[in-house]
Amino acid sequence: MTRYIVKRLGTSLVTLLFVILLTFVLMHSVPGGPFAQEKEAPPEVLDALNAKYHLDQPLVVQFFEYLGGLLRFELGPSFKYTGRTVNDFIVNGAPFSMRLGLITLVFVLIAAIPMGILAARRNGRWPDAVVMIIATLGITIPSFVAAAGLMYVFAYRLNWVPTFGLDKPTSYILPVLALGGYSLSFLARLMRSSLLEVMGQDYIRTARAKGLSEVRVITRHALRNAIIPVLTVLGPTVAGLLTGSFVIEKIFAIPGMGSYFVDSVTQRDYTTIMGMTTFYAAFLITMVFVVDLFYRLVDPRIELG
Amino acid sequence: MESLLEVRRLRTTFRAGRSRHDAAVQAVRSVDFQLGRGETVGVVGESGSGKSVTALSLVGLLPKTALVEVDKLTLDGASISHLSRRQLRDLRGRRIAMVFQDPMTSLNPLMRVGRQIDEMISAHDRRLTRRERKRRVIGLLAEVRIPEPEKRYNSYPHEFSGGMRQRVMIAMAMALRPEILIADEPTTALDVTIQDQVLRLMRRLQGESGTSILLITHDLAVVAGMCSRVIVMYGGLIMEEAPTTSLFAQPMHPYTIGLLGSLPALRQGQSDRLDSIPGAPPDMTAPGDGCPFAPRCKYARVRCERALAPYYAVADGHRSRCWLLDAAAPGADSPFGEADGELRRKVVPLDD
Ligand SMILES: Nc1ncnc2c1ncn2[C@@H]1O[C@H](COP(=O)(O)OP(=O)(O)OP(=O)(O)O)[C@@H](O)[C@H]1O
Ligand code: SF4
Ligand SMILES: [Mg+2]
Repeated sequence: MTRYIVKRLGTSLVTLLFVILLTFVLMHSVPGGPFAQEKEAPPEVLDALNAKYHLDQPLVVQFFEYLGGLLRFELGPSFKYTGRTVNDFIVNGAPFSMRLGLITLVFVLIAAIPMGILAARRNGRWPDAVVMIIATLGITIPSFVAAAGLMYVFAYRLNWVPTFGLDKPTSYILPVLALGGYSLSFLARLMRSSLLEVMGQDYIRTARAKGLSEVRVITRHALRNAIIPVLTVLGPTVAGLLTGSFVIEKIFAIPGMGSYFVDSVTQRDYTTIMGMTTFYAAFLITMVFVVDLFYRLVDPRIELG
Repeated sequence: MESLLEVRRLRTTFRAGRSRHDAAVQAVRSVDFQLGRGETVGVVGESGSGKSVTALSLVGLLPKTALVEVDKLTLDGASISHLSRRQLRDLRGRRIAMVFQDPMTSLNPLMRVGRQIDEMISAHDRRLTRRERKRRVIGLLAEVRIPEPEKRYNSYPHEFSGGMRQRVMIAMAMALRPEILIADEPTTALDVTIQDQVLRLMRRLQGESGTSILLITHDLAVVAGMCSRVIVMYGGLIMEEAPTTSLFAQPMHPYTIGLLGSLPALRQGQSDRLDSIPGAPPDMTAPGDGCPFAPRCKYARVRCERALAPYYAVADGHRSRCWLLDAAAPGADSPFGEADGELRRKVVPLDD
C-alpha cells in the first residue's frame, strides 16, 4: 500500500510538472504579451514593466523562477490587476468554486446511484423509462443551454430562486442542476447498465441458490460489484464538474475561480493563467489519486504495489 | 429405493421477447424422473438439451422470462411446486443445494470466501453466533481439504485456483447437509486431475451425509464412476433412462448409442463435448410432433416424423422413447444387435 502511494505520488508530481511546462511553453509561443494592448505606452515604460515582471529574462530562467515561487506557494503578482496576486484570486474564488463543485458532486452521487438502481430493478417498466428519459435529456442538452433554460423558467418566470450569486441556500439549486446534469445522467445510466449486468452474473445465481432474500442478494452481492464501474469514472467526473464550472460560474455570476480564469486567458495575464492552471491540475491529480485509492480499497482483485 | 424427489411432467418455456408473438423456447418439454435417498443420478445430453434448465426449474432459479409448469413435484412426499417465495428460499441451500459449472465466476469476487460460506449458514440458522458460524466454516473448509483453513477464511476468490474454488462451492453447498445436491457440470471447467479430486470429494461428503446427488455432465466417464442411474436428455425430453451398467452394456436408444460412440474421443481428451453425432441440435422454438432426434437418426422412418414415441420399458428401471422398440417395428438393421427380436418381445409400452 505505502509503496503504491509513494509510486503514485511520484507520477503525480511528474504529471504536474509536465502540465506546468506545457502551459508555460504554449503561453509564450503565442504572439503578443500581457502589455501588448497598451499601445500608447512609451517603450521605456514597457521595458520597465517587462523588467519588473522579469519578462526580459531568458525563458528558461523565467520558468525556474516560477517553479521556485511554486515551492513557496507563491503564484506571483497579477499582470493585469496591480497590487493583487494570483494567490488572492484563488483564496477569494476557491471557496465558491469548491463549495459549488462539492455540493454538485454529492448531489450527483446521491441522485445518480439510486436512479440507476431503480431503473435496473424496474427494467423495462415505467420507472426505468422515466429515468432513461431524464438521463438522455441530461446528456444531450449542453450545460449552458440548460443553465439558461433553468434560469429563465425558475428564476425569471416563476421567481422561485435567485437569478445569480450564491447568497442564499436556494441560489445553489440552479447552478448545481446545470453543472451536474451531464454527470448525473451519465452516472445514472452507468449504474443502471452495470447493475443489470451484475444481476446476470453467476455469483448472483449462487447467492440466490443459498436461499438469500432478494434484498440481501442486491445489497450484499450486486451493489458492491455494480458500483465499481461508477468509481472508475469518478475521477473524470470530478474533472468534468471542475471545468464545467467555468461556464456555469460565468452564467450565474458566481465569483468563483472560473471567472478569473476565463478573464485571465483573454487578457494574457500570464501569471494568472499559469497559477490557475497549476492549481486546477494539482487539484485534479489529487482527486483522481484519491478516487483511485478508494477504488482499490473496494476491489480486492487489484494488487497494490 | 425410497423416492426423495419426484418430478412429473415438468415443462419450462422461455418467452423469447417482449412481444407475445415471439416464438417461445421450449427448453424442457416433458420431463419426469425420481431421485432416491442417497442415490446419485446422472443427467447427460448434448449442449442445449435442457439439463440445466431442468435443474434450475426445480428450485425456481430461472429468470422471470421462464414459465415453469409441473404436474407433480414432491420432496420427501410434500409438494414443492407451489411454494411462496419465502418457502422457496428456505428450501434453497438448506434442503436442495447447488454447485455450478464455472467456479471462476460462481463466487462473488469482492467477498471473502469464508463469509460467502457463512452466508449459507446464517441465511438458514439465526441461532448461531457469528463466532460459532466462523468455527463451522473453518471446519467445512478443512473438510474439503483447503490448507490452512483459518487463514484461507479471509481469502478472496481470486486468490484460489479453480479446483480450490470448486471445493469452496462444495463446502458451501454441503454446509447444511442438504437432502439433495444438484451439481451442474461441476468438473467441466477443471483440469482432468483436479476433476477427479472434486468428484472424490463429492462422493466422500455424500457418504457422510447421505445426500442425494443429481449430477449433470457431458462426460460419460464421470457418469460411469459416480452414478447408479442415468437420464439421457435430448431436445428437452428424456430419451432414455437406465441403471448405469445397463445403459453402457445395452443402450436402447439411437441417440444414446451415438453418445456412447463418441466416448473414445472423449477419453483421448480431444473434446469434452458430446458433439460427434452428425447434425445440428433441434429447433426448440418449433419442436413439432415427431421424435426430435429424427433429422439426425439413421433409423428414422415416416412414423418417427409424425409422432413422438412413448416410453417402452426395456427392463426393470430401463425405459426408452423410440419407435424401434415397438412390437410392430421391423427388426431388420436394428441398432440393438442380434438379440433384438427377443429384446423387443420383452418391451412393454408405458403410459405417459
Ligand atoms: N434464460 C434463458 N432464456 C432463454 N432461453 C434459455 C435460457 N436458458 C436456457 N435457454 C435455452 O434452453 C435450452 C436448454 O438450455 P440448457 O441450459 O438447459 O441446456 P444444457 O443441456 O444445460 O446445455 P449445456 O450442456 O450447454 O449446459 C437451450 O436451447 C437454451 O438456449
Ligand atoms: S423414434 Fe425414430 S427417429 Fe427417434 S430415435 Fe427412434 S428411430 Fe430414431
Ligand atoms: Mg447446462
